[in-house]
Amino acid sequence: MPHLAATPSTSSAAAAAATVPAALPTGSGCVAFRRPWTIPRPVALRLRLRAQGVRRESGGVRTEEQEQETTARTFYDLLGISAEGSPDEVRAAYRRLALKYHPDVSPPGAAAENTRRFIEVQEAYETLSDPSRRASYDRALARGVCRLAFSGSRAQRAYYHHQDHEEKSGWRRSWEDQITELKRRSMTKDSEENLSWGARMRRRAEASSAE
Amino acid sequence: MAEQVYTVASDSETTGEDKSQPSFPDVAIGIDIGTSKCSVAVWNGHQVELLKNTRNQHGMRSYVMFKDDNLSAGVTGGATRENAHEERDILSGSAIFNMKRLIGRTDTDEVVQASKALPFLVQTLGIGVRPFIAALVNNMWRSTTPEEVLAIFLLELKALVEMHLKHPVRNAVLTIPVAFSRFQQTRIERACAMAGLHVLRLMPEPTAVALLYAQQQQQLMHDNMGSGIEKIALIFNMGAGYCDVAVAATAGGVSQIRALSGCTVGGEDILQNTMRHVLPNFDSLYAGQTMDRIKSMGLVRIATQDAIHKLANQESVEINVDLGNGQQVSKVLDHSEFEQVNRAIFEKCEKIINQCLVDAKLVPEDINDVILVGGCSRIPRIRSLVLGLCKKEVSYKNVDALEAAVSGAALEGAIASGVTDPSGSLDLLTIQATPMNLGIRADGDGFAAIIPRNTTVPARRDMLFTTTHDNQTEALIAVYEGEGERAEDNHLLGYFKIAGIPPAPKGSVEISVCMDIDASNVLRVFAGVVKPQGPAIPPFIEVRMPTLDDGHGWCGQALAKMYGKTLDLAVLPKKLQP
Repeated sequence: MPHLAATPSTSSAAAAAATVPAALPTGSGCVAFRRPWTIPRPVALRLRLRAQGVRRESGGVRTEEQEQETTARTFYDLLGISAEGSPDEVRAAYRRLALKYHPDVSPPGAAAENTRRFIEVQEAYETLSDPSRRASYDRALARGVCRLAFSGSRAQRAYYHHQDHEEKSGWRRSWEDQITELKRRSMTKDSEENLSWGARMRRRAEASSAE
Repeated sequence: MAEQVYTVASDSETTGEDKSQPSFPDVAIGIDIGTSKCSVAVWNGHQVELLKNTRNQHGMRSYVMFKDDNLSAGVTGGATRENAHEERDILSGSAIFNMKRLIGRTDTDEVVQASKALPFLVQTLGIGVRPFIAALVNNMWRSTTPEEVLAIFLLELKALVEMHLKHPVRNAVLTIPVAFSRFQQTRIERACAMAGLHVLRLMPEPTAVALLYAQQQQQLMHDNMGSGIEKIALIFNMGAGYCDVAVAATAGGVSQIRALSGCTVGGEDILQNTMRHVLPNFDSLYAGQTMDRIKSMGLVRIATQDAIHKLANQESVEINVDLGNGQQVSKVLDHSEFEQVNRAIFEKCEKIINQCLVDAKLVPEDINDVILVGGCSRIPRIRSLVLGLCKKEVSYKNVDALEAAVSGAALEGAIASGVTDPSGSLDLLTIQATPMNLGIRADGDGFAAIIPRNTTVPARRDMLFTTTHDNQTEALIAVYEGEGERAEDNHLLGYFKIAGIPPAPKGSVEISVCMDIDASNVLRVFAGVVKPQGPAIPPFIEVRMPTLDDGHGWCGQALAKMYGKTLDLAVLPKKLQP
């Protein structure tokens, strides 16, 4: 049984990659915000999305980007940039994907899934936009130990939250924790990965009460 | 070339024909309820339009006048010029104002204590319950609550908007101070519900300004065909009740809030400090509210306020007030004196600006524009202080200090209502951040932040905890929000208990506490035992926060006293984590 603490991530890379939401133009002019979907609002339901102006440029790379996402393995793949991408490219990619996955611009049906994607994009951006974090991540990648961008592992998460308060040495340890976790997960890949955290919690509760 | 139009049809009425004609009834209005003044704006199909009241004012004084059986709010301010409420009527004890400072606070709060210097009745018992507030009606104190006062005000505001738009209004985006706790946010929502308004979103004031800035930058880019270079703006907003700072990175219509900080310091504090300086025996003179004291205090207030306004443009100002009973105040106030008296406030402003820059991981040289908004941004010392810290000569010119926040709220209202604009001026997105740490009580009186402040939302974070006693079977999860190191220094949002923890030596059980802020800014806390595994562990608990209602001031202390030792949790040191 995998350690529960390692799993409360919003989604695994596998789950995310398996369900690419319906194509949504990045230049969605019709913006749906956090609450609107909870109230009846005909205007919002009539989503008229336009591709226009500057956003049309980003529309051009959309297909390619989505292909990359279905096989996203690293933060770079996820943001759709090369490993040599400049800080400006990281920021531009982040904005492009935020316009695509942020719940405020998501159609009602895809809001939950897109929220998960957005959190992943955010994590990728936070790592790659910080030079020291990016360097650590690159080192881990170079050693070929960081195949998955998102393991949702507890160690990795802790590492991101607390890195500001940690010594540099803490970084490596966290990564090693994550590697161990990744190895372990690849050994015992369970179907629960595709469920939401809440669903996993319920399933676990059911399983334990049934035993 | 024909413009591409993507249509995501989710109901049968979709047609694309009326695309330039947004259905008016559904556009949410933007409201900026200030401590002192309030304004309302709406997207009129082409641009943001600020609404005026019958007295031709954009900024309406925030108060509600209680007179006989009539209630009238500052929206119309006595409806006509002839019946207009004068400032001295507002200060006669019959009007309640500064609701935004009082709402959602308990009587142990220092802001409530400071509000006792206002002409209406603010009574406190110091036991962590809501203060008793009353207005003078026919020489009697008539009780009310900040929520009720705000609701009456919003009702009048709603009527004004409906009269102007000629159709009912239901949805609104309101701006709130950064320093507002989640509990205070629920009070604002309640006041809105009482007034028949549905809150589409509560937006921290500087982020509304950031949205307006993002739109302007987007427009500039279209006009100049420039590239989508990221611009960093520092927004400083200081009104009568609160002071907020935000750092936003803007490009391509996306406004990313990098950091937020705020505090409950504003023009009201400056005014009170200055009144006490002008009249050193202010507190002893006005201890206990009698009719003549209220009247003379009102006069001091008006004269001091007037002097502060004048000081923005002149070196010194003379204050002359006849307090009655032969008492006279006569004083010349100059800049250096004024700045000396309010030094602590200016230092507080500096502190939150510096904190915001540190949190955004930026240095002053990174900032492209400094945006100064709010009534207090007119004070020369404030302007020089903010510009100095940001190493800038001038501030950003294209926004009105008093109208920027409400304009941003109206933009957000239109965007959130699904309105599109052919020119692309509504193709905007704000990526918000949490203004305060969210966490739980742990390690005795400690505070373990699970979602640190300035985390981008939506967000989900978790943390592992362990038991502090051998065979501990229950644990208290007390959820707090704030910046304090100790749990008690923060706002208690709610609490619950995990029971049925399998008996084990202390430190061996692992309890996961996960916090989730979803797309609607709703906070949920999930908690449960993750080690050991097996059939003998209790199900996880999911709690939506805040769960607390009124009178929670001492609740945290009561919890700590009753259960602090026995049901405590410890943060699991990271090296022990798998």
